[in-house]
Amino acid sequence: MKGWCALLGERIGGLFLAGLGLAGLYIASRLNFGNVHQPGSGFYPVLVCVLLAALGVLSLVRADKGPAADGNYASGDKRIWVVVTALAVYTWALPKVGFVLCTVALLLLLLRSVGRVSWTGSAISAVVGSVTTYAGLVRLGLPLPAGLLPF
Amino acid sequence: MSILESLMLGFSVSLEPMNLAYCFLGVLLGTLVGVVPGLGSAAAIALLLPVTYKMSATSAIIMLAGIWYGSMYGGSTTSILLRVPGESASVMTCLDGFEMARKGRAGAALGIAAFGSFIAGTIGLVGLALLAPPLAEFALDFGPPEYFALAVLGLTLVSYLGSGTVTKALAMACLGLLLGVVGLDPVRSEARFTFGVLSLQSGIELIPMVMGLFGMSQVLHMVRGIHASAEEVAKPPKGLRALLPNRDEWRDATGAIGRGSLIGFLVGILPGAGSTISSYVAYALEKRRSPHPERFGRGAIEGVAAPESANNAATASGFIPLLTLGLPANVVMALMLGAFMLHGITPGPTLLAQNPGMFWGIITSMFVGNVMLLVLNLPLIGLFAKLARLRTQYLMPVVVVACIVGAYGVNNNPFDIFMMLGFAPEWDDVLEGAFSPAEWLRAVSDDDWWMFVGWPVLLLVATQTLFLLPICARGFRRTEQGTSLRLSVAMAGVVAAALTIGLGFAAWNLLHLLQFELGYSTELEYEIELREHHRWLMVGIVGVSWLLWSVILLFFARRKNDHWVGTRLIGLLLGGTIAEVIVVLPLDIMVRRNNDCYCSTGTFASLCFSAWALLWLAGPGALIAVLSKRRRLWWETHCAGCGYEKGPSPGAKCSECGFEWHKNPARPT
Repeated sequence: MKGWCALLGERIGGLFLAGLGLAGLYIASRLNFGNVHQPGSGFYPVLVCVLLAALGVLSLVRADKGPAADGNYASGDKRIWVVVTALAVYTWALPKVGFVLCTVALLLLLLRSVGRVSWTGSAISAVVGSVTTYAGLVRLGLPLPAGLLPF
Repeated sequence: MSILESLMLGFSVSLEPMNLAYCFLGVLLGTLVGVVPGLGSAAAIALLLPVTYKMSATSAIIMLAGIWYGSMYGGSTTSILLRVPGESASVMTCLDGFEMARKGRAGAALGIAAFGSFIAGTIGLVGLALLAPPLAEFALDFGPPEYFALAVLGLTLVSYLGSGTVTKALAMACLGLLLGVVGLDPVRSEARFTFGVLSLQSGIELIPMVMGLFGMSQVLHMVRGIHASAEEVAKPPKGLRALLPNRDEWRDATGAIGRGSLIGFLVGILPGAGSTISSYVAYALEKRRSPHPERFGRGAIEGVAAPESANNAATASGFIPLLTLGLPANVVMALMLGAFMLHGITPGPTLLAQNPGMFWGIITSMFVGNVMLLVLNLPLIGLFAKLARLRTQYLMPVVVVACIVGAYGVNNNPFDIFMMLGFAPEWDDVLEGAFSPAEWLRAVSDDDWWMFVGWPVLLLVATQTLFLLPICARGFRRTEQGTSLRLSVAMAGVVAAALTIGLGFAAWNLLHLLQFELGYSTELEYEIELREHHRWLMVGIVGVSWLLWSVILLFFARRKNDHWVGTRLIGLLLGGTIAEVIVVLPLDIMVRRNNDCYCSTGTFASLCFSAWALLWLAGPGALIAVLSKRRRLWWETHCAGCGYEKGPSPGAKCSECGFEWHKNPARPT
């Protein structure tokens, strides 16, 4: 028997899939459907969305059956959310602040806060890692954003 | 070109200095990836995909393939010394490998894993070299409907063999199909699901997707288990002599290596199965056939030899569907497909004809890589054991930066990093699904969609899929107070109806042929021209047939006595399903290739008859066999005398009819 938390997770997952299917169906319904001989742009997406919505509903109904999901991040660690949020902020800031500064901050957070490496070790690793990666990749021809830094 | 000439051509490509260097780099990286727990081969390949941009396609695939089979070698080291599987395919090796190490036989376990891997890898490659060319030639006759049917079969198998519930696996595959349609419609150039974002018009980029699916999801896994470490570490052996198993161990392991290689090779070809499942199957088989199964889990060398051989043979055979049909058998092969596509090459039946050097170069590079791995692994085991204790705290930031740079580097666009983050949760089946819409669209756009039911090869594969769908639905196999028995019967009825319509087509074809043979008609049109009313007639036949089959199957399901001629027949019919595939598919292609029309060959009538007869007989047979198990379970929870439900605490006899259950609790005669 699944615990209430796992059951809730399964139900949310089923609901998400069903919702995604229905939303997709709404969007796909505005595309040209065509017919079976000349399928339009929306023909295939409509079929897939209907199937996805049906499977989502089935997952919702059968949430209490089957083994509990292993990779349930929602019930787990706060550190996962720290990493995901940090990456989202990183992506937003990258074009404005630049690769080196963003990556130093990210690596510092990952090493110190998530990996619990000492402050000194984290700082040295973050700075050296970011600068060498930047220098190496720019030299290889990948134009990484410089941002606030002059180089 | 003979096989020897082809191999010579392959070796001339794979032994080029640059390719040799990439092969070495690949196997070295693969071994390291296998050794370091927390970083899988799929993640490593995904991380390195952008690096291959500037390489030649052959060198790129040689290197990525090296990572794949190299990780299988490396995975065994941590399994044996630390009881931490470096790869999912090495999980079974932990059981006996670590026990052997605790008993001071770590060297023998590592040695047999390396030798077994080498032997199995070589056997797998010989099989690949022998099987791939005829299969590629055979597949040249496949058209979009056949490819679509194969893709559906692949998705079904992935859902069946995947972890978790079948519903979720199918939903993930559907999500993959949906993601595959994002971008401009290839036929009408109409934007679909792009939400006005320009970056989405070319579809979802492969690299951010795989970086998210494999790289970032791996990071999240690392974050979860970042402070976990192996509790006990066995001492690595010192010196090469310590790695050699003794005579008794060799004797015990030889058969296991042979059987493991064979199982690995066969399971590796199946879509969705791969090296992990092959190692499970090989271990289970060894344990079952052993006269002393109690030794397993306590340091039996067969428990190391069989799974290690199986996972290496499976890596070689996994290339067969990719190189010959263009179908990825597992997620790593899906990444390989992506690598091919990045270089503008579509793997499949035409690869051998258009790029023989590349085709054979990849195969022979694996021979070379296997030798490299053997030489590399045995003397460096001590070093790898130290690397295996590398803390994930340091590994995780490296993977994060590699993912970011890889995703960003595709278009120099931060949007791709967001895209990668969106794929970070584990949605492995999504990737499998993302490749099939194109074939479907080609199939329905090229011709009338009725071609889906008219072509024998397609129908055979599709029917196999139909068998698998209800079988893999787990509810079908279980009983819960017998309540969903009717649903099972209805599902079986649908499938049986599909089979009946197939028989209808066969009869139609046969009638045309007989008319021609008997001189009533001088012209024989194989292609059936279906008019509108014919189509409705077909739908009607399916409907009637469904109802009819449901009644027949329901009758069977409710029948109390098991000892009747039908049950004996079921076993025979089940075998027919396998015979059907083995016999009919090659025959069909053979006949089709002889001439544009089936009719001009003498085997057509027999082929047509036997194909559909087998299809019809084997199909319901497989369904009835599944139903019979369910039926037995149903009767275990119901009174055999009157069918009354026993309830949670049944007494000695039925409260309805007084039937005494203990006399014959399941089924009276």
